[in-house]
Amino acid sequence: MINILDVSNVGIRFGGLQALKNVSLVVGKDRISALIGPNGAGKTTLFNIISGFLTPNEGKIIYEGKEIQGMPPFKLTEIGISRTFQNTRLLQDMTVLENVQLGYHCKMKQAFYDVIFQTKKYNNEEKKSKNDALEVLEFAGMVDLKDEFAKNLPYGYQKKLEIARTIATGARLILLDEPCAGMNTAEKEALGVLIESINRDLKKTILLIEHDMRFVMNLSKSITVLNQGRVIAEGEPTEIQNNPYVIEAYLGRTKGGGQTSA
Amino acid sequence: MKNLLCKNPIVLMAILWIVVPIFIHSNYFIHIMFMTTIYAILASSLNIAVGITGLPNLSHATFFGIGAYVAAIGSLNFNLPFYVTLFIGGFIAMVFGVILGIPTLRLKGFYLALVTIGFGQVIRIVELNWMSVTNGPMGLPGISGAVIGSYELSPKAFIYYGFVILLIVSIITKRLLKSKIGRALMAIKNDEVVANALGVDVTKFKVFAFIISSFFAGMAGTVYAHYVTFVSPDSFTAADSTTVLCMVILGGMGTILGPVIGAIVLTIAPEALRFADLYRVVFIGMVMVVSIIFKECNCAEVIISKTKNLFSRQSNRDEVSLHD
Repeated sequence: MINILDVSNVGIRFGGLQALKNVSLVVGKDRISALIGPNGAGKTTLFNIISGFLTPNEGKIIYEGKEIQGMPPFKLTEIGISRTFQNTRLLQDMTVLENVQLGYHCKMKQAFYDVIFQTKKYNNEEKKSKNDALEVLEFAGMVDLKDEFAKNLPYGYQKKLEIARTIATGARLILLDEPCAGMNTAEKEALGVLIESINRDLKKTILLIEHDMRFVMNLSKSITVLNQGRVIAEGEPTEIQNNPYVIEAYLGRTKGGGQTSA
Repeated sequence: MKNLLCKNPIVLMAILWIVVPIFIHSNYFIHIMFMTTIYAILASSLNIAVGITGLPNLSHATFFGIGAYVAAIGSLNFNLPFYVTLFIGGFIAMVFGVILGIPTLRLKGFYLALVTIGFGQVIRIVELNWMSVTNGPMGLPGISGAVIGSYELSPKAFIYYGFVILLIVSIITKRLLKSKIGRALMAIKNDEVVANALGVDVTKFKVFAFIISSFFAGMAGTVYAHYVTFVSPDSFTAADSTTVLCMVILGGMGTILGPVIGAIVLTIAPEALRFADLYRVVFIGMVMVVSIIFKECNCAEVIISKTKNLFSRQSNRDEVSLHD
């Protein structure tokens, strides 16, 4: 198995708080991997580091053979890493189509000159990005909503649109931060199908954070468990389910301790 | 034809600007029309920074003033004709835009607004005190008018001259909105973090918005300087910057026609309300408050949707997007 992403010994401090320490994780190419752990374990912090919003104090991140720690987010999008956010962040006052079209930003080479004089390059690029965006929307099953403003979408579609946008960036590695938070069982199932199809049909590698264990266990091939800023377990879903450290982190100690954390 | 009018705010604007000056003869009205044109350029160019990109700039009149001073100095000291000062004025205002832009664009919202106010004050104090260049509070009189060969532009011709620039700003805005650049700017206004995550180099595009915005303000400044033939620091105060911002907000941020409508209303209203003396300020203040309360339905959108209903037979209840 080839690794698309290799995080090794990453650590980050916020003042006196060691949010992550010695975190290592590999993501296999064309796989769905998951990152789980109790609240406050540092999952989103790790996502922020991988996607360039935070620079780690120590450690290395290698993406497709290239060291990427400390690169700004827009550069990482350019080289193929795209993410969604825990609390869905859409461009509220833009239409669904514009939201997706923006995903093609990096690939479009039109300059100010091309825009003002509406050159052939501009026309071709706009036409292509619009068609591509419509295709992505078709794939996500929301092509009918293309002219709706993002803020008017129902919650489930907002989440979907965010995912559609990451596809549009042409990313080879997609980071999904709690994609099915706040969804009901049916919606979760539909989203699971969509994510699987992104992985299988579009050949994208996916790393996701999720609290819904059934969702994670069904979908992902490998799971990494974080707790209090450290990796406490790594492996296939079945191994993780039976790992005593994981059970302890999620449910508390069985003997003597009495500490519980959800 | 009717469809063209509704769909294309620029055509509507062009008709207004070409037809109205034909029917006005009094110098007073010509002056008001000219000032409307200048304010429309200022509001439309400020709209690119504030309305589309969401960068609160409270020193737009300062860039306007820089353009005007460049025209004055160029014309008085170097005998440059108006079509040369036009570009130099725009360019130097743009340079100041970059100077202000690059270090401050990491700031957001109120903080950026505060810095721009400060910047406006600094430039004003320079204008007031750099006697050898700006002649301080006395200003620079005797700027040449706009002369091409033996023909000198009449005040009426100045309206058309200004309108050409307004037209260019509007067309640029319109084309930007439908491009990669426009989407990036709108994304920055909506959510910088997302823009960044989608591959937009946020700082670069913010500086770009500042550059375009200040360039056209500078150009408007040169037109103004050659028209009134006199510049002084009093013409470019923080109050003027606020007025321009009010025009953008009143008309509708991020739209093409909105800032122009805002400029028309807020230039003509104070003149039309002259009989009410000081009360007109109160009245205009009230208009601003009401327009902010109802900011969801900004002027431009309301007017466009109403006219659309007038023109089309079946009532159209769709929300009209001026982005098209």
